Amino acid sequence: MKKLQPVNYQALVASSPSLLLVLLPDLTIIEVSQSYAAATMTVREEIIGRGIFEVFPDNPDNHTADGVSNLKASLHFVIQHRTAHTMAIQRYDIQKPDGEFEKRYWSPYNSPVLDAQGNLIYIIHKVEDVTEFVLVQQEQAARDHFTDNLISKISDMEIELYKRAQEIQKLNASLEKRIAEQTHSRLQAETDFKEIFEKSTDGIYVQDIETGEFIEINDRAAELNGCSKEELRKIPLENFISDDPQYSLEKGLEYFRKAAQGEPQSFEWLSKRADGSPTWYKVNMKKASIAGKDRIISFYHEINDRKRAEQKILASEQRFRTIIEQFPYPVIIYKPNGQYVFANNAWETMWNDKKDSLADYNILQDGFLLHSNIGESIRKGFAGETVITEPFFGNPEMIGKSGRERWVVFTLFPFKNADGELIEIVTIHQDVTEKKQAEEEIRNNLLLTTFQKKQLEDFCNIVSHNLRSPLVNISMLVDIMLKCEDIDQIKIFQDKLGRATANLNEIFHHLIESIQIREETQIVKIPLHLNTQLTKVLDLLHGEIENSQAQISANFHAVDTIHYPEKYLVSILHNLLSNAIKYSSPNRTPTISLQSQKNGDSVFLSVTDNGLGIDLNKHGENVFKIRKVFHSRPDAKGFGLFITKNQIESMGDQISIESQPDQGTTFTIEFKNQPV
Amino acid sequence: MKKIQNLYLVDDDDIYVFLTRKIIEETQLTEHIEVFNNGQDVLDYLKNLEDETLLPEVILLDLFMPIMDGWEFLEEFAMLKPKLNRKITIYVTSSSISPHDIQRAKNISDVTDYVIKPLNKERFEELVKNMAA
Repeated sequence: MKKLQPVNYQALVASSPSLLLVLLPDLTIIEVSQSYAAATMTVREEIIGRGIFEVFPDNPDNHTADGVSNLKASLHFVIQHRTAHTMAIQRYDIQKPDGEFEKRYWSPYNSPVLDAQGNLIYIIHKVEDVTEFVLVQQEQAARDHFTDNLISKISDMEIELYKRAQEIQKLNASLEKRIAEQTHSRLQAETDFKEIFEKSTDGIYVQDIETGEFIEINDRAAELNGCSKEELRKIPLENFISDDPQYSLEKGLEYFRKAAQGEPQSFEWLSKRADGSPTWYKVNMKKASIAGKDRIISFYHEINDRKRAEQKILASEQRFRTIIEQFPYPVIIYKPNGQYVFANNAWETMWNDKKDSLADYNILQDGFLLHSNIGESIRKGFAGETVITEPFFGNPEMIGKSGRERWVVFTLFPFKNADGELIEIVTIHQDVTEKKQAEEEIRNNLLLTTFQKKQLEDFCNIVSHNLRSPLVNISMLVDIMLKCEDIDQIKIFQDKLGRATANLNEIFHHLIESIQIREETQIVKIPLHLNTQLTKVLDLLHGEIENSQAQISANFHAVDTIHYPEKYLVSILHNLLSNAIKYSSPNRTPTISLQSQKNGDSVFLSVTDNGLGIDLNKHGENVFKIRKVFHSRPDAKGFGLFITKNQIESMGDQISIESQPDQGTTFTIEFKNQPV
Repeated sequence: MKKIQNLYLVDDDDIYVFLTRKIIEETQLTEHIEVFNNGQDVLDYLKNLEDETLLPEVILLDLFMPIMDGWEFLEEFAMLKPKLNRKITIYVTSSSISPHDIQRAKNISDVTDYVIKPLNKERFEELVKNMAA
């Protein structure tokens, strides 16, 4: 398809065979057709940008020249009415380049060009040069040299003229109609106003702006006051003033003054009727010009019913507020934008705070709340949903307020008006602190009970097995000794009895140690310097270290202090180190390294050795059990790790093991909740 | 009463082993007593045994021992049993009076009975008598 180039309207106008002139609304020429320039003996480039009347002035020699004024009138008509206007045939002489004027007759037609919004942007001025035609008409068309061509042209022009005449006629008819309508509507308006004035349901008063004298009063005004118009004029104004000082005569005069200064007044007014009964009005008072004079016109709309309803609502609201005020649950009310509106006494009691402190509070701008776990619920509530939040720990300090900390559940429900529009958000605070504390206590008790149950099982185990084992030996030995008469034999039994008793003693001692852990659950954490504690333990293990030639190194750079009961830390380090030495490999120099690390609020302490190791696939679950022995060592009793684990777990911490047989073992203790 | 050719005593408590061996010898119901300190030792011995006549008729098995305890031994034994050409009666002998341990032992099919230490003469004779029956 052939691509269409945008139309060059300027070129189109410039080369139009019609005599065209394009004007701006301020009558500046912005385009002209060559034919127009030729017909008016002007140069296109010279006249563009100039005012039409500057380019085409009246002929100063023709004293009856009306070209300028008629054209002006026509153009103004177009500007004002945004419709085309056809001028009658007009003499408008043209100034020749030599300054002389040449007599010319024109048939002009002005039409508006509007934009999409209906604003006038251009005026197209189109003319036909009818000079010859007019002259011919004037000279009785008797001249011989008129050619057929001219006759034909006349014929064309006659048609054009006829059309123009028709248009003018139509325009006249439409103008006449409009005038008739306007006349009618003005008459109608006057009648209407009279009717409105008399039949209005509002009392209407027209007063003199200077004196306040009543110029006119309608029937309704008199009726509302319970008297006749005449009485209304006679009775002093004071008699209609109510006893309420809010609605005094001075106050009324103030409204009048302001209205007189051109500031329309709209207010509610309580006044007295002629019989003294009170009446409420909604008053609109303004300055108006009536019959050329400045007046104050006041409309009094009776609103007794509405006022009574309002008072009822007010009373009901007061009742509601009183109920909420005395409500045993804390209630706080917000606007939908989060702004605080109201809080009751129970709220003050619960938070131990004054509601005055809430004056500038906006719950939705509370940064803390937006980041808490109930932020989403609160937002839903303010979107108009009824919401019950999760229990939430309210700490007034976090929102920069005093008061006390409470666990709360918020219930948010919307208060909407009849149109379903959200008016307020009512929030009930339910104090669940005690419930929460009770839950916490139960949870702690459960943890303690579980721990104690496990300890009790271990204890039963110790008594039923470990303690019984040496007792069996002792009782057997005693039995056999009683029956034996051979002195040498008895000596052997005595020796064995001594060992069995020592064994019993040792197990008994460990048992006491385990029981002590149980009794010391309230044991206190104090800051302990790891290096100091390690030195203490190394002193205790002095002999073993010497014998084994063990190399012990420690790196406590990451964390050098932990908070722990001193007795436990010493015992734990002692057990882990003595194990590492005890189960060292005969093929290597024992190397033991200790290291501390930090992760969040946990401190990890690890003890790594290059000893015998344990096959965790085989023994993993038994490592920390009582009397579990994994190596044939005469001094392996199986108590150390059991006690260590018990001590660590009783503090709520954890111990874990990594090991490879014949490579070594790492024990890692996680000390939780360490101060940063 | 039929004599037991081979009895294995598996226990790490040397005093107990000393006394029990004495009691068993007094009954004169066994030809030979072999002592092992833990489960691993007896397992290794059984695996490498070439002379079938040395297989035990009875094993007195302690539960709590280092290296390999009685429980672990019983697991290993269940796998080894099909290769052994003799019916072996196992008595668990332990100082534990925990009902949990007793029940657990009795639930293992290879365990004939649970004997609470000490094992005296009368109890041992009874065990041998039951075996013959």
